[in-house]
Amino acid sequence: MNNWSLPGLEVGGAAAGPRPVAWDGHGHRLLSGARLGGAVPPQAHLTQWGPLPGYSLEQLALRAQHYALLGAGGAAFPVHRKLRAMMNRRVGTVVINGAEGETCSGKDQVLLRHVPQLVLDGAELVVRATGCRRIVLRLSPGPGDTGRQMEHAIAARNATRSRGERLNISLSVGPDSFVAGEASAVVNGLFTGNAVPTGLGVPPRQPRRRAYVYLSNVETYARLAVAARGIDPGSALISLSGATQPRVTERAPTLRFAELLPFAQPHDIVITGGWHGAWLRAARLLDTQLTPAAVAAHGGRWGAGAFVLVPSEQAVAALIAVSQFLAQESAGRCGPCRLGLPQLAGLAARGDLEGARALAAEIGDRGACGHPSATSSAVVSALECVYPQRLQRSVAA
Amino acid sequence: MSAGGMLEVDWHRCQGLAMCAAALPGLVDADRWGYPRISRRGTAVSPERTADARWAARSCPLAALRFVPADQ
Repeated sequence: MNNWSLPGLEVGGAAAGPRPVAWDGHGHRLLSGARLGGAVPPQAHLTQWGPLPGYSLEQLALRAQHYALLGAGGAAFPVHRKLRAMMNRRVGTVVINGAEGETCSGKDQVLLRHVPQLVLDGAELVVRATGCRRIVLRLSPGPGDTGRQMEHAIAARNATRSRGERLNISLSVGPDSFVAGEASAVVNGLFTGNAVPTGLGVPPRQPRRRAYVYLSNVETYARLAVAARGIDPGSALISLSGATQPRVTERAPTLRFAELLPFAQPHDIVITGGWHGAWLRAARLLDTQLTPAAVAAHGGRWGAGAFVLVPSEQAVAALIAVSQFLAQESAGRCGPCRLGLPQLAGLAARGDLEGARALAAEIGDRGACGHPSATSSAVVSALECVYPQRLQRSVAA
Repeated sequence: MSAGGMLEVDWHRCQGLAMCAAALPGLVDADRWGYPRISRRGTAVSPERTADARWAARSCPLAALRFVPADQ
């Protein structure tokens, strides 16, 4: 297949492909009022969604719970629990995490560029409910000029407000690496300048201060802003890349993957849930609906909604590229990750499923963040998908 | 008196010297690189091994091992 590439990763000496940061114009909920080519201005946003309700923390948590809202950064943590953890606590900073470290994901950039007011609504709800005064929007230096566009969006929003009702938001740009978007890496980057993952206390606090940090993903804030208005925030916000036009699309969850990937062959592979996700033959996924539960029922993972189509004849090259990339993206601070992931990539390159499984068990769930264990499961899943005959042999043995 | 607790590793400090594994046979063992097989959540320590675990945590030359007592 010509013109095939992986977003942000070199494959077999070929250049890295573009990241899926462009919206295809399909909106279902969050992007339903948006237009291609720009951001929805504050007045049009208000006309579509109506005024922002003023909720207490408990009222906001009840709304989130009613719609079973989950974090959209990959870990799917229930939003109502994250909100309730801030009850009777001093929140020093509300962080909007837009540091999309995953090169196959672009949906947060799309939301920031097209519906910035909805994202800001979500953060404002948390600010009002917690009494926190400060919002920080964390971005990665990735493609596009999201930062400049957000400065415009914030200025336009505050221009409609009296002085006392303006949002106090600052922008912060972190390093362009895979693990830099991880929650504890973002908090460390903001407060110590060193964006490495250390794991977070639950709930997280500002280092060397007593105040708590409320951190959530861009998409999660947008969905919270919809849920707070009593509207079901459900939709499928998906980043597509690989052997398809790299793009972000928002569709009804009842749609099936075959409609998003009409040219996929049954033997092609879909990497579900991004680089930490699970590899599936397209045949298992194409008839599946666009929901985390349906994808999980077929052995896939939703993660942050990133899906990468790999042509079957490129499967081995992609396996090698992804496992090497994940090893390189280790921050190198924890032994099992620094030493284990390059060895794991070596076993993946040799197609050694049994060896990779043993090494994945050895690496275990250790280290300061989830990168080593998530990488281990992803590489084992990739090997099982690319070499199904070895899987059958090992089951027989 | 003691209610046991958890052994936790500071993974940024740990250099795989395996001294904790030597000090705590049957509770902690080392992997192929010398790093302790202690998960991110930590390893539970029974009341009987608490004194050993405290001593091992104090003995780690890199201060990478921590004993967190269970709530009294």
